[in-house]
Parts: sequence; C-alpha cells; structure tokens
Amino acid sequence: MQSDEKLVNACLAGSNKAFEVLVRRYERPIRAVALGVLGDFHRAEDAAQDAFIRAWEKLPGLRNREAFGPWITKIARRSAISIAQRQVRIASGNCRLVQAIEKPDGRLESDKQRLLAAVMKLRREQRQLIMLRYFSRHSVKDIAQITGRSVGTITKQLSRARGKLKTQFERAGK
Amino acid sequence: MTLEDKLERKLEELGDTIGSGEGLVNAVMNQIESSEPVKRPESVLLLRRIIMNSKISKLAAAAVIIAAIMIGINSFLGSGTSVAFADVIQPILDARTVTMDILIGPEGRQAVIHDEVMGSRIRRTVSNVQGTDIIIDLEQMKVLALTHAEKTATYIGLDGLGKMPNYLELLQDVVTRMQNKEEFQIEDQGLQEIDGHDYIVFVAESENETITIWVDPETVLPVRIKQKTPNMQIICNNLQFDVVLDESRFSMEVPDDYVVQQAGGIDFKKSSESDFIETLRIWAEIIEDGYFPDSINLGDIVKNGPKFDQAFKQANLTKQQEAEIAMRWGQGLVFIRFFKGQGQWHYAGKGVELGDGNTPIFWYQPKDSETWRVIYGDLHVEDIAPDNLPK
Repeated sequence: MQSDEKLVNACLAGSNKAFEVLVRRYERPIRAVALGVLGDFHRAEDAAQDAFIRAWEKLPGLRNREAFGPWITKIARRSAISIAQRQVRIASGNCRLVQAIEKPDGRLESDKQRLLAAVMKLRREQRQLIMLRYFSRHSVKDIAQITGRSVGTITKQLSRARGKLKTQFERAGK
Repeated sequence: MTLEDKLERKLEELGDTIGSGEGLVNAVMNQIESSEPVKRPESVLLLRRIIMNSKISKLAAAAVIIAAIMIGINSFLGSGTSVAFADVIQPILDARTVTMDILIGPEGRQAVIHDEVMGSRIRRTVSNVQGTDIIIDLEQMKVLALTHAEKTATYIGLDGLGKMPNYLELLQDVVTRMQNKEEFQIEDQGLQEIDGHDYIVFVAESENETITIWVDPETVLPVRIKQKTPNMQIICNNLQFDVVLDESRFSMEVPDDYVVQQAGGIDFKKSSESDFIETLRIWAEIIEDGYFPDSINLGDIVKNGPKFDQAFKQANLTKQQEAEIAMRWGQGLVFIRFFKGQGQWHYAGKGVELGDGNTPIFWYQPKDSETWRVIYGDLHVEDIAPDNLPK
C-alpha cells in the first residue's frame, strides 16, 4: 500500500496513474463529504468530481504531501458548498445548505443522514480515519501506510473517533 | 451486539450506500487525460521530457554503434584486453555529470559497461576487460583509447554521425514530441515496488520499440531505462546525476608516457552491404577460425570482446594491419546498427563455415524492394522472392 505522500510525489513527477490510485482511495470519503453538505447523491457526485479535478490542478501547491486526505476533504467541502450556493441562488427562497435528507430518490435515509452529519462533525484527522476505515474499507494496517503513521497510533485515534461518534449516537437516541 | 459493534456496522452500511464504482474515477481521469497539461514544477517537466523523448532511442543506437565499433578497435589494437562501450542517454549529456551502467543483450549474462559522463565527454570501461579506458568526445566526434598496460593511446575518428544535439535542444524536441505523441504511445504504470524501493514506471511504445523508464519519485530523475527493439535490448542502470568527478579523467590529451597511435576512423554515413560482407569475412577468417560467429548481436559482441584480442595476437599482424582491419570490421557494423532496410534483418551464420555456398547466413529486405537480399556462406549474394526465403 503506497502512502499518500508517495503517490502525490509520483503525481507531481507526471504519473496520472498515481492520481487514479488516490481517486480510488478517496472517492467514498469525498462523496460522503459532498453528500454531507448537499444531501443529494447526484449533486454530491458532481462536487466530488469537481474536487478531484481541482485537487489535480492545485497539487503542486500542496506543501504537506502526507496530508492529502484532509486537504482534498477541504476542497470537496468547498466544492459542495459552492454547488449548494449556486443552487440556492437558482431556487431563491431556500437558504438552507443542508436539507433534510429523507427522500428515497437521491437522498439518504434520515438515520444515515444523522450518522453522516456526526462523522462530518469529527475533527478532520478523526474524520479521515473513520471514512478510510468504514467507507473505503481499508484495514488499520493499510491506513497506517496511507497516512504514514503507526498502526498503534491509528488504532488509538480510531478508538477515540468511534468514542465520539458513540457519544453522539447515545445523545441522539435519548 | 454492543453499541460499538452496531456503530461500526452502521458506518459500513453508510459507506456502502455512498458506494463506489467506475463512474467517478473514470469521469475524473478522463477529464485529466483530455485537459491541457497542468503547469508543473520544472523537475516534473524535465522528467516528462526525458520520458517522452523518442530521440533517446536514435541517439542510443548511434552511441551503441560507436561502442560496437570501438570493441573491435580496442581489440584489434592489441590492447591486451579491452572492449569499450555504449552511450544510451543523450539527454543527460548536458547535465553537469552523470554516471551509469549499461547492459546490452538479455538480462543476467551481459558485460557491464560503466560510463562517466561530463558534458559532451564520456569515460568508459567494460567489466570483462581490464586495463583499457575509452574517452569519447562527442563534440569533436573523436575517441581516445588508453591501454594502460602497454601505455598506448589511440585516436579514432567518428565521422558522419552528425552533430549530436545538446541537452537543451533535445528537451525542446521532446516537448514537441510529447505534445504530438505521434511516434510513441505512453503508458503510465504508476508506482511499482522493486526490491523494496518504489519507482514510477512509464512505458513508451512505438511500432518497433519499447522504452521503459523507472523514476525515483523523490528526485524525479530516471534511475533505470530499458530500450527494447526487435534486434537488441539495452538497459541503462544505476543512473546518478551530478556526481563529483575529476575533470582530468575526461581529457583528450595523451598522458606524457603513452605512445600515440592513429587508427583512422569510421564513417557513419557510409552504410553498405559490401562493407558488411567484409565484416563477416574478417569475423570468420580472423576471429572465428573459419566459421561465422554464433551471433552478431551487440550484447554478444561485448561479451566476447576479449576473444577479438586473442584472435589478433594469434594472427601475428602488425599494429598497422590490426588497425586497418579493425576499421574495416567496424565499418561494416554500421550496416546493421543503422539498418536502412525494411523490417528486421535475420542472421543464421551459427555453425556455418566460410565458403559454404549453399547455406544462407544473412538476409534482409532493402527499402522499396520486393525481393530480399540473401548472403550465403561463401559471401555471394542473391536476390530472392519472399516465398523462397530461408525458413
């Protein structure tokens, strides 16, 4: 499993294939981020695509190359907000960026929407780990290699992140 | 099921709902591939230019023949040992210094040619030949062979190769070729792990040639280049740039206590069948005891370099005779190294005795010709229709 840093270096050296690996690695997390903002699968897909293209263009400016995950997450969020704002302008009167996501057609069920919202409220490192672990289904060992951190650190951080989600879950259940 | 288990399951279900698939990946990659190249740092452009440069191959071929010819020259000059060798990566010549190992022929059984490059000059040694260094000056198109045991220094001219482009010109050319991508289809294979190291791998393929380049992702410099054509494979290994080298090692001046010899030169513009036939004759008569060589591939020539020396010693030739014959032998190699016919040439001389008029040993199709030229063991030539070619 190549680390994000190595893949970014390879992209900057001219390898499009390396970028494809990053896209595959982060497509679910990035969709999730966009979905969290837009609440709609179709627009989330557009935002995710836009985010990856922007990331590709801005890649030489990424100083901290091991932080590709949090960096593209930020880009995805901005892309999604930008799409949502355009939508708001078009459909004037509706000022909410994040709508209730309860309709089956193109929208998440409410409990999943709440869980997604809870994930999005996590600190960015924790959010990245949760998304890589459960959305992209990477093993802890893989995540350690992707992020350049130790297995022990990832295990601890994941445990803390799950603890926070659990607390939010329990609160929501009350 | 604990709350934590439930949470994990719900997270996974959420991930599945968000889903994946080729849609997003394909959309992103298609857009990237079809978009205008994004401006990258200079190092990145440099890599791209090196990778996409189809001229590498042509210059490699040019340099390889220099090397092949010098093998003969060295040996014929009675160095007691030497073989010399190849230049593969012209684009790096204008880097301040470069060192590399060159392997010609099938992997695992070649002699290693070690090159030190400083500007337009190369200092070259070969692993299976001790005691001879070759200094090549690509500006003056001249070679100086130093045989240390006998303290002889031999100048050899290399006419007709034309001006070798400098680094900048080459890069400009590469950029144009990159944009057009006419000759090569480039496949980016991404990161690959080899012997515990990660390399970016690019494969450039044309009709008759495949060039694979391994690049260090940290330095964005190539560390290994493999060039494969139907008749030859060259691997350029352990590439290192800007190594500190002593300038005096590249001097074309003869050391004080060395005796100077003139060997004449090779004309690279002259590429004729008759010269090649003369090469075959010398090969069989002088080097192989009346039989044609098993192979005329460059890699085998390098591997068998010391054999040339030995053969000349046994032939009891004068230094002047050795030099003259070496030049004639080398001149004929231009024919196969800069082959101008159609498709590939074929060699079948292994085990054939010089004088055997019934056995074809070499055949090729000249450009724009419907028939083939077939050379037999007695070195007569016939024009043969494709249907009647040797099997």
